[in-house]
Amino acid sequence: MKRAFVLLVLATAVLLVVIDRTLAPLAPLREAGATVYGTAESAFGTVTRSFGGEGRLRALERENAALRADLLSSGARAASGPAGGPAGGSASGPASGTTAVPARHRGVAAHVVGFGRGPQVTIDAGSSSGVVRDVTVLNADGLVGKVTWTGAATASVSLITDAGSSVGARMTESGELGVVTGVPGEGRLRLSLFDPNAPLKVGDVVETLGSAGARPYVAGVPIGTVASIEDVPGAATRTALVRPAARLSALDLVTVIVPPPGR
Amino acid sequence: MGLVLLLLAAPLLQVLLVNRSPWGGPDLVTLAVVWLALARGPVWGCVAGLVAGLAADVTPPADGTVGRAALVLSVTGLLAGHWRERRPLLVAGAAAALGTVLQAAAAVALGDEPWRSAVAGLPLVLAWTVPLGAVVGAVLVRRRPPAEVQRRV
Repeated sequence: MKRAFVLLVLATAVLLVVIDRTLAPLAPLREAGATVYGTAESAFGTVTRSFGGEGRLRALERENAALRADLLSSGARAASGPAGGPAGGSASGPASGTTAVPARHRGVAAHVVGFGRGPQVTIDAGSSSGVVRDVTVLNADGLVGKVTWTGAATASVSLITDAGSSVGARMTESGELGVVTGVPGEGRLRLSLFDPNAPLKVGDVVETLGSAGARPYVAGVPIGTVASIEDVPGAATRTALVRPAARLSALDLVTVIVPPPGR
Repeated sequence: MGLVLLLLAAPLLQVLLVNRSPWGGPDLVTLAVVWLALARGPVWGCVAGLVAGLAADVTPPADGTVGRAALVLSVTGLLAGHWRERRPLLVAGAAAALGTVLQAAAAVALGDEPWRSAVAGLPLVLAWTVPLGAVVGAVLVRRRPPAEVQRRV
Protein backbone atom coordinates (compact mmCIF):
# COMPACT_ATOMS: atom_id res chain seq x y z
CA MET A 1 0.00 0.00 0.00
CA LYS A 2 2.69 2.43 1.09
CA ARG A 3 4.92 1.26 -1.71
CA ALA A 4 2.15 1.71 -4.28
CA PHE A 5 1.57 5.27 -3.06
CA VAL A 6 5.26 6.17 -3.34
CA LEU A 7 5.39 4.70 -6.84
CA LEU A 8 2.32 6.74 -7.78
CA VAL A 9 4.00 9.94 -6.58
CA LEU A 10 7.18 9.19 -8.51
CA ALA A 11 5.19 8.27 -11.62
CA THR A 12 3.33 11.59 -11.39
CA ALA A 13 6.64 13.47 -11.36
CA VAL A 14 7.99 11.54 -14.35
CA LEU A 15 4.70 12.07 -16.21
CA LEU A 16 4.88 15.84 -15.62
CA VAL A 17 8.35 16.03 -17.14
CA VAL A 18 7.42 13.83 -20.11
CA ILE A 19 4.23 15.77 -20.88
CA ASP A 20 5.98 19.14 -20.61
CA ARG A 21 8.87 18.07 -22.80
CA THR A 22 7.16 16.05 -25.53
CA LEU A 23 3.39 16.49 -25.74
CA ALA A 24 2.55 20.07 -24.82
CA PRO A 25 4.10 22.64 -22.51
CA LEU A 26 2.15 22.75 -19.26
CA ALA A 27 1.17 26.40 -19.68
CA PRO A 28 -1.89 26.29 -17.38
CA LEU A 29 0.27 24.99 -14.52
CA ARG A 30 2.83 27.73 -15.10
CA GLU A 31 0.03 30.30 -15.33
CA ALA A 32 -1.34 29.10 -11.98
CA GLY A 33 2.12 29.32 -10.40
CA ALA A 34 2.54 32.84 -11.72
CA THR A 35 -0.87 33.78 -10.32
CA VAL A 36 -0.17 32.45 -6.82
CA TYR A 37 3.55 33.03 -6.33
CA GLY A 38 3.91 35.92 -8.80
CA THR A 39 1.14 37.87 -7.09
CA ALA A 40 2.78 37.22 -3.73
CA GLU A 41 6.10 38.51 -5.11
CA SER A 42 4.45 41.69 -6.42
CA ALA A 43 2.67 42.23 -3.10
CA PHE A 44 5.92 41.82 -1.17
CA GLY A 45 7.60 44.31 -3.49
CA THR A 46 4.80 46.84 -2.99
CA VAL A 47 5.02 46.50 0.79
CA THR A 48 8.82 46.89 0.96
CA ARG A 49 8.71 49.87 -1.40
CA SER A 50 6.14 51.64 0.80
CA PHE A 51 8.77 51.75 3.58
CA GLY A 52 11.54 54.29 3.14
CA GLY A 53 9.55 56.17 0.50
CA GLU A 54 11.45 59.42 1.05
CA GLY A 55 14.85 58.11 -0.01
CA ARG A 56 13.29 56.36 -2.94
CA LEU A 57 11.55 59.53 -4.06
CA ARG A 58 14.84 61.42 -3.99
CA ALA A 59 16.59 58.69 -5.99
CA LEU A 60 13.83 58.76 -8.60
CA GLU A 61 13.97 62.56 -8.80
CA ARG A 62 17.70 62.36 -9.45
CA GLU A 63 17.15 59.71 -12.10
CA ASN A 64 14.42 61.79 -13.69
CA ALA A 65 16.69 64.83 -13.83
CA ALA A 66 19.51 62.79 -15.37
CA LEU A 67 17.15 61.40 -18.02
CA ARG A 68 15.85 64.89 -18.83
CA ALA A 69 19.39 66.12 -19.31
CA ASP A 70 20.18 63.13 -21.53
CA LEU A 71 17.09 63.75 -23.61
CA LEU A 72 17.96 67.43 -24.15
CA SER A 73 21.61 66.83 -24.93
CA SER A 74 20.91 64.05 -27.43
CA GLY A 75 18.02 65.78 -29.17
CA ALA A 76 19.62 65.41 -32.59
CA ARG A 77 19.70 61.62 -32.37
CA ALA A 78 16.10 61.43 -31.20
CA ALA A 79 14.93 63.53 -34.14
CA SER A 80 16.66 61.37 -36.74
CA GLY A 81 15.35 58.22 -35.07
CA PRO A 82 16.36 54.62 -35.71
CA ALA A 83 15.49 52.96 -38.97
CA GLY A 84 12.22 51.05 -39.35
CA GLY A 85 9.72 53.60 -38.06
CA PRO A 86 7.42 55.54 -40.40
CA ALA A 87 8.00 59.19 -41.28
CA GLY A 88 8.15 61.67 -38.41
CA GLY A 89 9.94 59.23 -36.18
CA SER A 90 9.85 61.19 -32.95
CA ALA A 91 9.40 59.30 -29.70
CA SER A 92 5.81 58.76 -28.66
CA GLY A 93 5.39 61.55 -26.15
CA PRO A 94 6.67 62.10 -22.62
CA ALA A 95 5.79 58.60 -21.40
CA SER A 96 8.69 56.99 -23.25
CA GLY A 97 11.80 57.69 -21.26
CA THR A 98 14.64 56.94 -23.67
CA THR A 99 15.84 58.48 -26.88
CA ALA A 100 16.08 55.06 -28.51
CA VAL A 101 12.40 54.20 -28.48
CA PRO A 102 11.17 53.69 -32.06
CA ALA A 103 8.09 55.55 -33.16
CA ARG A 104 4.82 54.34 -31.65
CA HIS A 105 6.55 51.99 -29.24
CA ARG A 106 5.94 52.88 -25.64
CA GLY A 107 7.75 52.27 -22.38
CA VAL A 108 6.07 50.37 -19.54
CA ALA A 109 7.55 51.02 -16.11
CA ALA A 110 7.97 47.94 -13.92
CA HIS A 111 9.77 46.86 -10.76
CA VAL A 112 11.97 43.83 -10.38
CA VAL A 113 10.31 41.80 -7.62
CA GLY A 114 11.90 38.34 -7.75
CA PHE A 115 15.35 36.96 -8.49
CA GLY A 116 15.94 33.51 -9.96
CA ARG A 117 18.91 31.24 -9.24
CA GLY A 118 20.40 32.00 -12.61
CA PRO A 119 20.34 35.28 -14.50
CA GLN A 120 16.55 35.65 -14.59
CA VAL A 121 14.30 38.09 -12.76
CA THR A 122 10.55 38.61 -12.36
CA ILE A 123 8.97 42.00 -13.06
CA ASP A 124 5.56 43.13 -11.85
CA ALA A 125 4.08 43.95 -15.26
CA GLY A 126 2.52 41.33 -17.52
CA SER A 127 0.29 40.86 -20.51
CA SER A 128 -2.40 43.04 -18.90
CA SER A 129 -0.02 46.02 -19.28
CA GLY A 130 0.79 45.04 -22.87
CA VAL A 131 4.08 43.24 -22.18
CA VAL A 132 4.77 40.48 -24.72
CA ARG A 133 7.60 38.00 -25.35
CA ASP A 134 10.96 39.02 -26.80
CA VAL A 135 10.98 42.74 -26.13
CA THR A 136 13.73 44.95 -24.69
CA VAL A 137 14.04 45.62 -20.95
CA LEU A 138 16.32 48.49 -19.92
CA ASN A 139 16.85 50.83 -17.00
CA ALA A 140 18.29 54.33 -16.62
CA ASP A 141 21.88 53.06 -16.98
CA GLY A 142 21.58 50.66 -19.91
CA LEU A 143 20.33 47.37 -21.31
CA VAL A 144 19.01 44.80 -18.82
CA GLY A 145 17.68 41.93 -20.94
CA LYS A 146 14.62 40.67 -22.76
CA VAL A 147 11.26 39.29 -21.75
CA THR A 148 11.09 35.49 -22.07
CA TRP A 149 7.66 34.68 -20.65
CA THR A 150 4.59 36.70 -19.68
CA GLY A 151 1.83 35.89 -17.23
CA ALA A 152 -1.21 38.05 -16.55
CA ALA A 153 0.45 40.41 -14.06
CA THR A 154 4.10 39.28 -14.01
CA ALA A 155 6.75 38.55 -16.61
CA SER A 156 10.11 36.76 -16.58
CA VAL A 157 13.15 38.60 -17.89
CA SER A 158 16.35 36.89 -19.01
CA LEU A 159 19.35 39.15 -18.28
CA ILE A 160 22.11 39.85 -20.80
CA THR A 161 24.55 37.92 -18.57
CA ASP A 162 22.66 34.69 -19.35
CA ALA A 163 24.87 32.19 -21.18
CA GLY A 164 22.28 31.88 -23.94
CA SER A 165 21.97 35.61 -24.54
CA SER A 166 23.55 37.24 -27.59
CA VAL A 167 22.99 40.87 -28.50
CA GLY A 168 23.97 42.60 -31.73
CA ALA A 169 26.33 45.40 -30.74
CA ARG A 170 28.04 48.47 -32.16
CA MET A 171 30.94 50.47 -30.75
CA THR A 172 29.62 53.99 -30.09
CA GLU A 173 32.78 55.76 -31.27
CA SER A 174 34.20 53.64 -34.08
CA GLY A 175 30.93 52.15 -35.31
CA GLU A 176 32.46 48.64 -35.50
CA LEU A 177 29.89 45.80 -35.35
CA GLY A 178 29.96 42.74 -33.13
CA VAL A 179 28.07 40.46 -30.78
CA VAL A 180 27.85 40.60 -26.98
CA THR A 181 27.26 37.26 -25.20
CA GLY A 182 26.89 36.34 -21.53
CA VAL A 183 29.72 34.74 -19.55
CA PRO A 184 28.33 32.15 -17.10
CA GLY A 185 29.13 32.53 -13.43
CA GLU A 186 30.39 36.11 -13.41
CA GLY A 187 28.74 39.44 -14.03
CA ARG A 188 30.69 40.14 -17.22
CA LEU A 189 29.90 39.99 -20.93
CA ARG A 190 32.07 38.96 -23.86
CA LEU A 191 32.27 41.23 -26.91
CA SER A 192 33.34 39.75 -30.26
CA LEU A 193 34.01 42.29 -33.01
CA PHE A 194 33.71 40.91 -36.54
CA ASP A 195 36.77 42.81 -37.74
CA PRO A 196 39.90 41.28 -36.10
CA ASN A 197 41.86 44.51 -36.70
CA ALA A 198 39.22 46.87 -35.33
CA PRO A 199 40.50 49.60 -33.01
CA LEU A 200 39.51 48.80 -29.43
CA LYS A 201 40.61 50.22 -26.08
CA VAL A 202 39.60 49.89 -22.45
CA GLY A 203 36.73 52.24 -21.61
CA ASP A 204 35.08 52.16 -25.05
CA VAL A 205 31.28 52.18 -24.88
CA VAL A 206 29.23 49.39 -26.50
CA GLU A 207 25.62 49.95 -27.50
CA THR A 208 22.90 47.81 -29.08
CA LEU A 209 22.75 47.58 -32.85
CA GLY A 210 18.99 47.01 -32.88
CA SER A 211 17.01 44.09 -34.32
CA ALA A 212 14.59 44.05 -37.24
CA GLY A 213 11.31 45.56 -36.05
CA ALA A 214 13.03 46.48 -32.76
CA ARG A 215 12.39 42.99 -31.35
CA PRO A 216 13.98 41.74 -29.22
CA TYR A 217 16.36 44.70 -28.97
CA VAL A 218 15.90 48.36 -29.85
CA ALA A 219 18.88 50.32 -31.18
CA GLY A 220 21.18 52.70 -29.35
CA VAL A 221 20.85 51.42 -25.76
CA PRO A 222 24.18 51.35 -23.86
CA ILE A 223 25.25 47.77 -23.05
CA GLY A 224 28.46 48.52 -21.15
CA THR A 225 32.08 49.60 -21.29
CA VAL A 226 35.12 47.54 -22.32
CA ALA A 227 36.92 46.38 -19.16
CA SER A 228 39.76 44.29 -20.58
CA ILE A 229 40.87 43.23 -24.05
CA GLU A 230 41.68 39.59 -24.78
CA ASP A 231 44.69 39.41 -27.07
CA VAL A 232 44.62 36.16 -29.02
CA PRO A 233 47.03 36.33 -31.98
CA GLY A 234 45.48 35.09 -35.19
CA ALA A 235 41.92 34.92 -33.87
CA ALA A 236 39.10 35.40 -36.37
CA THR A 237 37.36 37.98 -34.17
CA ARG A 238 38.50 40.66 -31.73
CA THR A 239 37.23 39.77 -28.25
CA ALA A 240 37.03 41.77 -25.03
CA LEU A 241 35.32 41.56 -21.64
CA VAL A 242 32.61 44.16 -21.10
CA ARG A 243 31.29 45.48 -17.79
CA PRO A 244 27.48 45.94 -18.04
CA ALA A 245 26.28 49.54 -17.81
CA ALA A 246 23.31 48.55 -15.66
CA ARG A 247 24.00 47.11 -12.20
CA LEU A 248 22.41 43.74 -12.83
CA SER A 249 22.76 42.48 -9.25
CA ALA A 250 20.76 45.37 -7.78
CA LEU A 251 17.92 45.94 -10.22
CA ASP A 252 14.80 47.79 -9.20
CA LEU A 253 12.99 50.13 -11.60
CA VAL A 254 13.11 49.00 -15.24
CA THR A 255 11.37 49.98 -18.47
CA VAL A 256 9.91 47.48 -20.94
CA ILE A 257 9.76 48.71 -24.55
CA VAL A 258 6.38 47.47 -25.76
CA PRO A 259 5.37 47.40 -29.45
CA PRO A 260 2.12 49.11 -30.43
CA PRO A 261 -0.99 46.89 -30.16
CA GLY A 262 -2.30 45.22 -33.27
CA ARG A 263 1.03 44.02 -34.64
CA MET B 1 3.06 21.86 10.91
CA GLY B 2 5.74 24.54 10.84
CA LEU B 3 7.74 22.46 8.41
CA VAL B 4 4.77 22.09 6.05
CA LEU B 5 4.28 25.86 6.05
CA LEU B 6 7.99 26.33 5.38
CA LEU B 7 7.68 23.87 2.50
CA LEU B 8 4.95 25.93 0.79
CA ALA B 9 6.68 29.27 1.46
CA ALA B 10 10.17 28.07 0.48
CA PRO B 11 9.96 28.84 -3.29
CA LEU B 12 8.72 32.34 -2.49
CA LEU B 13 11.38 33.07 0.15
CA GLN B 14 14.03 31.76 -2.22
CA VAL B 15 13.00 34.16 -5.00
CA LEU B 16 12.34 37.16 -2.75
CA LEU B 17 15.20 37.09 -0.27
CA VAL B 18 17.84 34.38 -0.70
CA ASN B 19 18.64 34.83 -4.40
CA ARG B 20 19.20 38.59 -4.10
CA SER B 21 21.76 38.27 -1.30
CA PRO B 22 25.26 39.13 -2.55
CA TRP B 23 26.89 36.32 -0.51
CA GLY B 24 24.84 33.53 -2.06
CA GLY B 25 22.43 31.43 -0.03
CA PRO B 26 21.09 27.95 0.60
CA ASP B 27 18.59 26.13 -1.59
CA LEU B 28 15.61 26.54 0.74
CA VAL B 29 13.31 24.22 -1.23
CA THR B 30 15.73 21.28 -0.97
CA LEU B 31 16.28 22.02 2.72
CA ALA B 32 12.55 22.06 3.47
CA VAL B 33 12.05 18.70 1.71
CA VAL B 34 15.01 17.07 3.49
CA TRP B 35 13.96 18.35 6.90
CA LEU B 36 10.38 17.17 6.43
CA ALA B 37 11.61 13.75 5.26
CA LEU B 38 13.85 13.42 8.33
CA ALA B 39 11.10 14.47 10.72
CA ARG B 40 8.22 12.46 9.24
CA GLY B 41 9.62 9.60 7.16
CA PRO B 42 9.98 8.51 3.51
CA VAL B 43 6.34 8.79 2.38
CA TRP B 44 6.04 12.34 3.67
CA GLY B 45 9.41 13.16 2.14
CA CYS B 46 8.37 11.85 -1.27
CA VAL B 47 5.10 13.80 -1.32
CA ALA B 48 6.80 16.91 0.04
CA GLY B 49 9.37 16.68 -2.74
CA LEU B 50 6.66 16.49 -5.40
CA VAL B 51 4.68 19.43 -4.00
CA ALA B 52 7.60 21.74 -3.23
CA GLY B 53 9.43 20.84 -6.43
CA LEU B 54 6.37 21.56 -8.54
CA ALA B 55 5.89 24.88 -6.76
CA ALA B 56 9.53 25.79 -7.38
CA ASP B 57 9.18 24.82 -11.05
CA VAL B 58 6.29 27.21 -11.66
CA THR B 59 7.35 30.12 -9.43
CA PRO B 60 8.39 32.94 -11.78
CA PRO B 61 11.09 33.60 -13.02
CA ALA B 62 11.79 29.84 -13.29
CA ASP B 63 11.45 28.85 -16.95
CA GLY B 64 12.79 25.29 -17.09
CA THR B 65 10.86 22.08 -17.64
CA VAL B 66 7.80 21.77 -15.39
CA GLY B 67 8.29 18.76 -13.08
CA ARG B 68 12.10 18.82 -13.14
CA ALA B 69 12.58 19.81 -9.50
CA ALA B 70 9.47 17.80 -8.55
CA LEU B 71 11.02 14.58 -9.86
CA VAL B 72 14.46 15.20 -8.35
CA LEU B 73 13.19 16.31 -4.95
CA SER B 74 10.64 13.49 -4.56
CA VAL B 75 13.50 11.00 -5.03
CA THR B 76 15.66 12.99 -2.59
CA GLY B 77 12.88 13.09 0.01
CA LEU B 78 12.26 9.36 -0.35
CA LEU B 79 15.93 8.49 0.14
CA ALA B 80 16.42 10.92 3.05
CA GLY B 81 13.39 9.48 4.85
CA HIS B 82 14.46 5.90 4.13
CA TRP B 83 17.91 6.22 5.69
CA ARG B 84 17.16 8.63 8.52
CA GLU B 85 17.45 6.03 11.32
CA ARG B 86 21.24 5.68 11.10
CA ARG B 87 23.71 8.56 11.30
CA PRO B 88 21.20 11.46 11.04
CA LEU B 89 23.93 14.11 10.66
CA LEU B 90 25.54 12.32 7.72
CA VAL B 91 22.26 11.41 6.02
CA ALA B 92 20.91 14.96 6.32
CA GLY B 93 24.04 16.48 4.82
CA ALA B 94 24.25 13.89 2.06
CA ALA B 95 20.57 14.32 1.16
CA ALA B 96 20.93 18.11 0.97
CA ALA B 97 23.96 17.73 -1.29
CA LEU B 98 22.18 15.10 -3.41
CA GLY B 99 19.12 17.30 -3.93
CA THR B 100 21.22 20.31 -4.97
CA VAL B 101 23.53 18.43 -7.32
CA LEU B 102 20.71 16.40 -8.91
CA GLN B 103 18.77 19.58 -9.67
CA ALA B 104 21.73 21.04 -11.54
CA ALA B 105 22.29 17.71 -13.32
CA ALA B 106 18.62 17.51 -14.34
CA ALA B 107 18.74 21.06 -15.69
CA VAL B 108 21.71 20.11 -17.88
CA ALA B 109 20.26 16.74 -18.91
CA LEU B 110 16.94 18.25 -19.99
CA GLY B 111 18.71 21.00 -21.92
CA ASP B 112 17.39 23.90 -19.83
CA GLU B 113 20.84 25.25 -18.99
CA PRO B 114 24.32 24.86 -20.49
CA TRP B 115 26.48 22.85 -18.08
CA ARG B 116 28.94 25.68 -17.66
CA SER B 117 26.40 27.99 -16.06
CA ALA B 118 24.82 25.16 -14.05
CA VAL B 119 28.18 24.23 -12.52
CA ALA B 120 29.34 27.82 -11.94
CA GLY B 121 26.98 28.56 -9.05
CA LEU B 122 27.01 25.08 -7.50
CA PRO B 123 29.92 25.25 -4.95
CA LEU B 124 28.54 28.32 -3.19
CA VAL B 125 25.04 26.85 -2.94
CA LEU B 126 26.45 23.56 -1.59
CA ALA B 127 28.55 25.41 0.99
CA TRP B 128 25.37 26.96 2.38
CA THR B 129 22.94 24.08 1.97
CA VAL B 130 24.91 21.09 3.27
CA PRO B 131 25.93 22.40 6.75
CA LEU B 132 22.52 23.97 7.32
CA GLY B 133 20.73 20.80 6.24
CA ALA B 134 22.97 18.53 8.34
CA VAL B 135 22.72 20.48 11.61
CA VAL B 136 19.00 21.25 11.57
CA GLY B 137 18.20 17.80 10.17
CA ALA B 138 20.09 16.05 12.97
CA VAL B 139 18.29 18.17 15.56
CA LEU B 140 14.92 17.29 14.00
CA VAL B 141 15.65 13.55 14.10
CA ARG B 142 16.94 13.66 17.66
CA ARG B 143 13.93 15.59 18.93
CA ARG B 144 11.73 12.58 18.21
CA PRO B 145 12.53 9.33 20.06
CA PRO B 146 12.72 6.38 17.59
CA ALA B 147 9.74 4.54 19.11
CA GLU B 148 7.43 7.44 18.51
CA VAL B 149 8.81 7.92 15.01
CA GLN B 150 7.92 4.35 14.13
CA ARG B 151 4.40 4.73 15.44
CA ARG B 152 3.81 7.89 13.42
CA VAL B 153 4.89 6.28 10.19
